[in-house]
Amino acid sequence: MAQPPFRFVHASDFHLERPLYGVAEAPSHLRELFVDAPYRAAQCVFDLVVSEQVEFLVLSGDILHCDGTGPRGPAFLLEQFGRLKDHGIPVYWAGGHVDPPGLWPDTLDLPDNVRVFARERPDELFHLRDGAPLARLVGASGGPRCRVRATDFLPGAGGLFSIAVAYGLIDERAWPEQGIDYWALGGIHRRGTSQSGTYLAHYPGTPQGRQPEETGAHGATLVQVDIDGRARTKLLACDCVRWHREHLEVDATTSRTDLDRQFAERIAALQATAPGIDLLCSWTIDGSGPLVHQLRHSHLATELLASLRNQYGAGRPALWSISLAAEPLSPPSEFFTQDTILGDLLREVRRLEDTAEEPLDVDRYLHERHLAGSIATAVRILDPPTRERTLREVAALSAELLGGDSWGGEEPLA
Amino acid sequence: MRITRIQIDGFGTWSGLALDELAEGLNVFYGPNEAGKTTLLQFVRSAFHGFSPERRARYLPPVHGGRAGGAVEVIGPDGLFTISRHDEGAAAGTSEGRLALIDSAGAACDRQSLARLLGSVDDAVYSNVFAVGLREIQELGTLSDTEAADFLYKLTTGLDRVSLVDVMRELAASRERLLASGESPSQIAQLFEERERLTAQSRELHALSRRYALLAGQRKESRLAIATAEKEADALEHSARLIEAASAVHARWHERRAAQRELATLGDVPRLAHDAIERLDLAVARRRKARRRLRSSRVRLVALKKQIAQLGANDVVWRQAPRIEALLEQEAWIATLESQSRALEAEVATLSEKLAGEHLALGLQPDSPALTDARHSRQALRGLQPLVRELRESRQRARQTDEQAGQASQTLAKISRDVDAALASRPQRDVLAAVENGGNLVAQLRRRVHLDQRLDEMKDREAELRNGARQWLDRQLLPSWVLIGLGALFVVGVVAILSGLLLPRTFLGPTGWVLAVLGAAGAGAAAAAKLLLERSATRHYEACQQQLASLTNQTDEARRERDELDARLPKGGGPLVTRLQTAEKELAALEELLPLNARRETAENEAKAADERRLQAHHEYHKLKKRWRQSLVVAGLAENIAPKQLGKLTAARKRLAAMQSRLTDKQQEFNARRQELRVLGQRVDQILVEICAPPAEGPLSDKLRVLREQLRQHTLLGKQREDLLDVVRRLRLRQAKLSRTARRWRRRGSRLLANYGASGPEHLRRLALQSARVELLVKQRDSLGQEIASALAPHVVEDDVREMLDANVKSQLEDRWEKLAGELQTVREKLRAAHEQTGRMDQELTTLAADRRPGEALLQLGIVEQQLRERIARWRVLAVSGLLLERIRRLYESERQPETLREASLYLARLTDGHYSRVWTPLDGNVLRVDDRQGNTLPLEVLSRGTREQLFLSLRLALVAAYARRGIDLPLVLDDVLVNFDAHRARLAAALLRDFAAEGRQLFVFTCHEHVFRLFKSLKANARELPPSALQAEAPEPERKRRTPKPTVVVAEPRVVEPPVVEERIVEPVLKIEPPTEIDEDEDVETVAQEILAANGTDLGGMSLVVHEAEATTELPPTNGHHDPKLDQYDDEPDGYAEIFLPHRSRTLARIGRRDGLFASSIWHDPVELEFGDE
Repeated sequence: MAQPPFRFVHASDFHLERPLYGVAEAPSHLRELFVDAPYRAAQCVFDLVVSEQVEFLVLSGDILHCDGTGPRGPAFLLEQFGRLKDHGIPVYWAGGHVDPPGLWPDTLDLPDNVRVFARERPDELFHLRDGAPLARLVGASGGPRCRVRATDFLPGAGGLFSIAVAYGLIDERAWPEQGIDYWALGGIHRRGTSQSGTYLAHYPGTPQGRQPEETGAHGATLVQVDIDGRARTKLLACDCVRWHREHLEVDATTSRTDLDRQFAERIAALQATAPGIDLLCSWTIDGSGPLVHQLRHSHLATELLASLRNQYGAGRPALWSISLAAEPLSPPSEFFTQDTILGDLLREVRRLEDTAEEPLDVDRYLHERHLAGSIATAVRILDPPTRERTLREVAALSAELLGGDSWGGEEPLA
Repeated sequence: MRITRIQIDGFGTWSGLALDELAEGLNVFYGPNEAGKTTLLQFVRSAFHGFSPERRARYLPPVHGGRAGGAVEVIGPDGLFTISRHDEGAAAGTSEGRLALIDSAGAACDRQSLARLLGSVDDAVYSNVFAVGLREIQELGTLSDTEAADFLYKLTTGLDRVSLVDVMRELAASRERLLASGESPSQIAQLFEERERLTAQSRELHALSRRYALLAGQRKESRLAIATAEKEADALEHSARLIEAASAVHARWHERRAAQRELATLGDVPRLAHDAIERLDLAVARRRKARRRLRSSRVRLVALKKQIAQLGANDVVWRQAPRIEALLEQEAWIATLESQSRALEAEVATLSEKLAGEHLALGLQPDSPALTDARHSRQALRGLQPLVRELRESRQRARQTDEQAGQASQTLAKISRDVDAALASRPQRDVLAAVENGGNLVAQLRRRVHLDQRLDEMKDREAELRNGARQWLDRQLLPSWVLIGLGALFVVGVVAILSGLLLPRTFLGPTGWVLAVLGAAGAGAAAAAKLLLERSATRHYEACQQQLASLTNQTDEARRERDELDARLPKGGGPLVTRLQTAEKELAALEELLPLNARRETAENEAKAADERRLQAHHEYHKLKKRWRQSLVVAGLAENIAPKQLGKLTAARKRLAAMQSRLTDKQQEFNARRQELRVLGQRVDQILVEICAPPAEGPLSDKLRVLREQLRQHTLLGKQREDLLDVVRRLRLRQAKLSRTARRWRRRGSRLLANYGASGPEHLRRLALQSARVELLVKQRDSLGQEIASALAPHVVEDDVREMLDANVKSQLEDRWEKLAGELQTVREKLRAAHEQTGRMDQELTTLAADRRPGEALLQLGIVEQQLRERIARWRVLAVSGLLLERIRRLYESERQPETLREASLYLARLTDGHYSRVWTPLDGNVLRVDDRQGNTLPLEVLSRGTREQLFLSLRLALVAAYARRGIDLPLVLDDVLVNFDAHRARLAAALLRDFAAEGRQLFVFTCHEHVFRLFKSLKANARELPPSALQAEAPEPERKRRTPKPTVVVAEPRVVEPPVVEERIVEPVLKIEPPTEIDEDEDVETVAQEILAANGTDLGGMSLVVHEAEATTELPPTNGHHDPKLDQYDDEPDGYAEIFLPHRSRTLARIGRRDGLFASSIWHDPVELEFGDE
């Protein structure tokens, strides 16, 4: 039997309770945007659901934490669900880590076009078009650190297009064997798709990047099911703030004017790719030469950052520069063999890198009143990645402090 | 590493200085003031580490011009190297300069090699440890006590590029700012507090959600209560409305009930229409009238049937009439067919003749197949076109090869004629043979001439050899004077022997044996000389004889060859040289013919090749013609058709094909027309036979006329009959209609009776009366019903009030209404209150929903957490760096520093003659302590300058030794470091330095003091004076006697400061002058200086004030009277000078000179301090 073609929107991880983070400061003219960005992105998703005239909306977890958002989150969702009800568009919602079904206040009635999947075991329901089944949905809400047990989601009969709605990480080997056409998954902020034959498992990601690591465009996914029952996904960009991490290369011949020109060209390119969207950019200067030396040792980095913020970050849409730093240089190998204090120190760093079991006892620099508190817990170096990163930066700092003019900033030798 | 040679091309005052033969150990250089010792020290620094900005400013360009820079020759573990550094070329002006490192093989080495030579010691370390000048010494002296201790401490803990102590201090300060180890506030702690505050605030804001949910629940309940109350109010309103309606319709309700009762009494009476009786009467009357008219039409029908029977008619014609009419309709077509047939016949004939004519015109045989046949199709003719092209190209090629062959033949003939003309005067017919013969002749003639010359030379040589042989033969007999001389020597020798041996010892004394030995030697020498001279002459004579024999053989050989050549050469022709010249000219002429001969051979080859190509082209052309004829036969064409005709055939083929096609079409059309005419004629004949018409001959159109006549007659009879039959049909239709009308009226009457159940018309009339009464009652009842409904509308229906009206009288209804109105008022009051409460809730919910505080708090919390993350990461780096540096520091303090200090203690003890025995440092502080002989521990503050400088020197020596133990063995250069040592300690220092060098270290000591110089000389050190620099050479010789230290106090009220512990004679400041607060740019410096001195009550006494303006740097050199060469122009006046630095005019320096041998120095700190003292 041929499958009637239809379209629906799949979204997840609204996290209305979480404003933008990972920045050490928020400019006053963008502060409102930093708070409202998740709501604006979610609003955009609902607008697209209406404008695209899709059959239904699938939400796969982490939409909001009712306490975290305050009353604003539930009120916003009820208003948007009401809009969809007015347009006859159902919502199928599987809860996640922050929005398990039990957390929704009992006193707030969801509209009858919203169907929330239970948490214990997958519910099965059919989406109808003109009284006839159009798609079969089987869904379950998740919880903290939830993994999706694909075997719990049983395939349907009759060749109807089937959609599994779930939250959490999925077993990559098990899901293709369940015979479910589309796995609408949530809980991962970066968009991703796995395909096995005609089956798709898709994470639409969060519609709004929250921190500097969540770079690039974010949004919801428009799923189009054709007459053969094949699903195709398409990104509907909904973010109103976009994060970028940009690297610029300099060398010994690069001047300040050259660097300014590089900034201008890169910023023009960024703005051209996302017109009308506010951009948040972290700059890293790679390479070597006097300019890098100045960036690391003088106020040049601060001046540049202020200049970029004044020039490109004051208006709207803004390109706000979050940070600007030169990549720390690894000390050259000859430093490690020197019979100097620096050489001794770098050899000690290398020894500590090789002997991970030897603790880095920083407690001696803590005041007694801090030893048993949260400060001590926060500053102790316990996990290997932190230890590795710290030692690497110690080596770079030592080379800068003890290497004198022979390190980093001198004019290139003739 | 050792320095073996220093070459200064141009550096400061030095130009062209070369210091060779430098010892591997101690080297002492003496030079008076301005001799250039410090310049030499700075040059060594520059050669190793480049022209630092300070050195460049002071020493470059050279005072006396020339090439700036120089070279140092060093020997290291890898051999000899020359380090050359000049300030020139592209590197001019840079600190690096043009550096060249050349090894002993002359190969250039890279900078890494220099770094290896220098043991990776950089400029700072080298200048602080290995190349120490008075400046470094006095810098230490100028530091405050604490600073000096700190400096010395750093020197012992780590002579690295950067001070370990400073770095640790900086790290600790940064770390403390981030997270204090004490009670002071710090960033991380503040951020933690801020985070906790924000977290608590965020938690508090969670209450908003609970409030929102609570409110939403309350609003929900409130709305439910409102709904219930509204329902209750609606019910009350409804009941009241019912009572009102019932009261309004009470009277009409009862009237209608009476009408209904009468209708019930009348029972079930059929309702008759008001015209039922009239309709019954009409049906009876109409039925009777129809029957009458039916009877009269039947009579008339019979009469018409009789009249039709009397008309006659041909049935055959009647049956064939459609076919005849169809044929007659084609009459015009038949006439057209006949005329077309005739025209086509004529056209076919014309086209056939024209086609035959075209064939003949194209030269095709009458029996040739038609050009339009399949074989002559367009494709077939087009298939011949390539062949036509090939034929055309082949014929073209044949013609071209004919022309080329002709041209080649002509060229060959022309060149052959030229060659023949050139050889006409010569016996040979072949140029190559002539050239070969000519060449042989020239070679033989040259050889012949050469043999003559060689014979002449050998003749001369033979004469020389014979001459020489005679001379050497003569020399075998030695000349008489030689023989006499040798003989005399021999005789004297023999006599001496005999005398020595034979004469008594008393006569010759103890030298008798010596005389004998000398005599033996003289005799032996004479004999040996004679023998050698004779043998030499013999060897030379024998050599001459051998050469003569060899020369004779060569002469014979040459003559034999000359005779053979003479036999081979043609006779006559004059002298050999003339013949040779003639033969060479002939050979040259023949060689000029060689290119022409080569051209002829080329032309022959080309002619031959062209002929072959011509034959090949003609052969191919004939083959193609044969293929053409075969192709024509295959194509069905005549063999004699020329290729040119193919184009015409191709062009005509289309035209003839069209003509043939047209002929065929016309022929077929003609046949078709004839066939159609034949078919039509057969049909006409058949009809004529069938209708028995008279036979007709001639064309088909005549037969058609007969048929038309027959048909016309039959048509007239048929029309009359049709008219009568039409009347009959109308009559029958009328009869049927009348019959139906009679039946219809009978059925209507019956149905009317049956409808009302009447047995007959009378019965129906009775029923009509009863029906009229029922109708009246129903109308009355319905009218009342409508009035009641109108009165009740729109909210009430009869059923709602039926029971109420049936059960109550009007007064009861009014009582009930009053009661309900009161209840309704109460409910409405409650409802209004509930609505107000819900509105307040809505307002609060809206306010809560718009509250952005949770988001803003979380944003701020995120910002604080990020700041916290960054600072914690930085703190960790600082903390770990601090940990590691502390480890390193402990290592240095526990291992390296004690070792260095131990060694420094030994040197200090020697320098102070055991007065101070130990220098050490406590582990918990960066201070130095010195123990004296009595075991007292003294801080550095109490040491005199001289002692501190001794300590400083001790530490430097210890550090050099420490570096040497680590494999870094560099030459040590000390510039006037003993200047503040008294004579005793200077002697001790010299001995120490000698011993230090003797341990395998190279050491350079520069001194301006003669007594120091003499001291070192007395210690057998390699001590020498520096050559005079150009400046010194130009300057007048200073009168050293005037520098005899005769101290004269020249300043007023000197202030004497007693040294605390040290019993040394030191130079102490005797005057402090407050610096001027403001000096204008254009103010005279001399005046200012005098004013300063006057203002401070300073009497110059024997001093003369000599003001010299010089460019001062921020690091003005400390002055001890011999730094500024430019001051030498005032050498007549001052013996020394004091300097006043004017800080507000940073480029101006005033120097106050004096005559009387006082030593002066100044220090550039506020307040300006003049120090006068005795040297």
